[in-house]
Amino acid sequence: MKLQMIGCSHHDAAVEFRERVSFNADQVADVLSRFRNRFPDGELVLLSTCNRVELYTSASDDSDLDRDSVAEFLAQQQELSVDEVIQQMIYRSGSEAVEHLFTVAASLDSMVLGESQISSQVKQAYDLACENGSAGPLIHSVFQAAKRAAKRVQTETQIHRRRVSVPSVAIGEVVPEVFDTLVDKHVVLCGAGEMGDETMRYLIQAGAKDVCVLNRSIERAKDLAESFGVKHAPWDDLLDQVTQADLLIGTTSSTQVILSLEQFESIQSARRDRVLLLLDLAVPRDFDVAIGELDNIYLYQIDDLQAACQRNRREREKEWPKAKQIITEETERFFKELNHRATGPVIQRLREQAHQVKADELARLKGKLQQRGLDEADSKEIEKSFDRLINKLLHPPLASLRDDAAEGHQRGLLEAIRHLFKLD
Amino acid sequence: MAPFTATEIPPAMLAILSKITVTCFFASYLVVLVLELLRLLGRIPGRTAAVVAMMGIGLFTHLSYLLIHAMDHAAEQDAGLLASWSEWSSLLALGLAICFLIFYLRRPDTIISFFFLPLVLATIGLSVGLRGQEPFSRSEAAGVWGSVHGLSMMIGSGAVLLGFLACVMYLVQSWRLKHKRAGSARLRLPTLESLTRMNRRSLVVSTSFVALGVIAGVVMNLNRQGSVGWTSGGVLLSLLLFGWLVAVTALEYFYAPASRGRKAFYLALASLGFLVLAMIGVLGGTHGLTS
Repeated sequence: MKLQMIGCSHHDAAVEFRERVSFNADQVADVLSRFRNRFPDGELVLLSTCNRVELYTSASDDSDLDRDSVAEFLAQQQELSVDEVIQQMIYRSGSEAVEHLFTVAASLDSMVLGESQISSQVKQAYDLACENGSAGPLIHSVFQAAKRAAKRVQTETQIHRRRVSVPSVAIGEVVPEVFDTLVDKHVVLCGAGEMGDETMRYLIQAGAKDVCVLNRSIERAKDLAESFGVKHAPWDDLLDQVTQADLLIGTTSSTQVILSLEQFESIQSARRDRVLLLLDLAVPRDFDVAIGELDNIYLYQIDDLQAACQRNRREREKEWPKAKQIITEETERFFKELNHRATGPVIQRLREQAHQVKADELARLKGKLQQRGLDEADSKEIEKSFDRLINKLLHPPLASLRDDAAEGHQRGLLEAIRHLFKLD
Repeated sequence: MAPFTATEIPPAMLAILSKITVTCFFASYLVVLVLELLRLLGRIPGRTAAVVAMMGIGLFTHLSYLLIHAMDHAAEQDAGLLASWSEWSSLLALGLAICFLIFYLRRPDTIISFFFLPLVLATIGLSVGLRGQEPFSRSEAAGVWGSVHGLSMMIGSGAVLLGFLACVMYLVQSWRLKHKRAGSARLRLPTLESLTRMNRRSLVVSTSFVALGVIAGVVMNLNRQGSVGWTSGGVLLSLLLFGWLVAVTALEYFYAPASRGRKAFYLALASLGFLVLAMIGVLGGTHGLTS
């Protein structure tokens, strides 16, 4: 039984190809069913995200399910040529495939090193395979080990602890330098698009309760506000909202500034010099840069935050060797356990066979000796002597077999014992 | 030691003030408590104003009673000024009543009166109960009030320094934020919000303790020599510091923009300046020397 992986990611394939080869959640379930029909003994987990498409397969007989057959199956699903799949997608097998999976699950192969989403995507792909019956013993073992490896990387390194997205840095690192808490602060979020949505998630996580969403389309403002249980207001209320705001965030796609210096100065006296933190996450910028020059006003633009993101990325990369070491250790541990499990049935059969021989010979000997008046004590002594003999004979080969298993069956002792003792 | 008298107060007014008894302020506080308990029955228009007015009357009569009574008592018996357990209990009640009024003015919607006023009334009751005890002598009283004076001025000075430090840290943090240094794991400072709060609290603590220190100093001097050397450098500059702190505290609470950012720093810097002056006045002269 051997794990193999065929796939592509942002590292080696263009987005155009990744788009053609990717699957949505419904398609994944269909593909798993079709795979099961085509390869009844095979196992498959299909991981399809915006940055990667990877098929992890294994079968009891490798010749049934090799690289070509998986490539052919994939090509059929997405109406691609087999050559295209083989040329564009990488192939890994055995320990390389296992190490790759562990690296992916631990988010060490992601576009943003250490991002947390991939771990849950790997888990979802595995769960889907379990639900559809395409996961078998090897897949169960390797994905559970991948989960363990990812957890070790998360807990034993700092790789996940640095924020690397602009909204997360803005809310998670800039806001705590100004305010103790967002619970009692009036937050005004301008823009209800994707960036607004992501920012809102971090605001809610940070404990913000008094948030007001403003957008030129009030419907979108209302949708976003309602989905997070906060308030919304018409765009015309912008200056009133800014007057009350402690934290003002711009995420609109407006081509012109939405708050000029003149507008801000007109409300400054009403603000009574309260501290205001402006987070301008929009490109083009939402707030006039000159506002940031005023006393008690702190303006952070996207470039200021990008610098923090880059700094955090560099900090994460410093953790890379430590994380990679964990992956190597976990891969070795996985194979050690796997090999150890593989020797179990052989050892058991060898012992059973030896005990069967012992039982037969003991019965024959006891039958002869009983005619000469063998008593119970002597009978037990003979039985113990046979047990000791078997244990002493079996100990050296079994110890060598375990050592060989720990080294990945490099000396082939498992097969040798099978043949020598005719254990099949 | 010269006996202290109440000759500075006009005789007519003194005659009126002399008629103030414990019943006057006890009743005022009791009326306040009753007014507050009426909350349980529902909304009463004008209750807050009535509470503030009655508290004002209570505090005025309480303070007048303490002053007149203490002076008369000391002049008659040559005992210490504000130097008996009874007077100290009454002073404690006065302090509690002042604290209550301050908290009440800040949040009139709360029911802190239910907790404060019974204690105020109880301490007044205690002071009445302790009337029979002999007061301490003037030298003993001067020692006690001297300790209170020194300790209070020390805490007040410490709080001024703390407020100044908070403002310096605020400026540094503000500079960091203006120069986009937020998020750096090294060289972190408390948030602007924490530093503002720290400065505000330091100001309140320093004003309260310097006020206590000044009052204790006056009582100590009256006990020790029957008068206060208002013109001596230490006293004058300590009073100047106290006056400045009161002004800054008033500005802090009644004009919010003054307490924010750079302005707060300038005020704290000035407070430090007044503190240094007061220190020079105290340490450079004969202040505190008994001989």
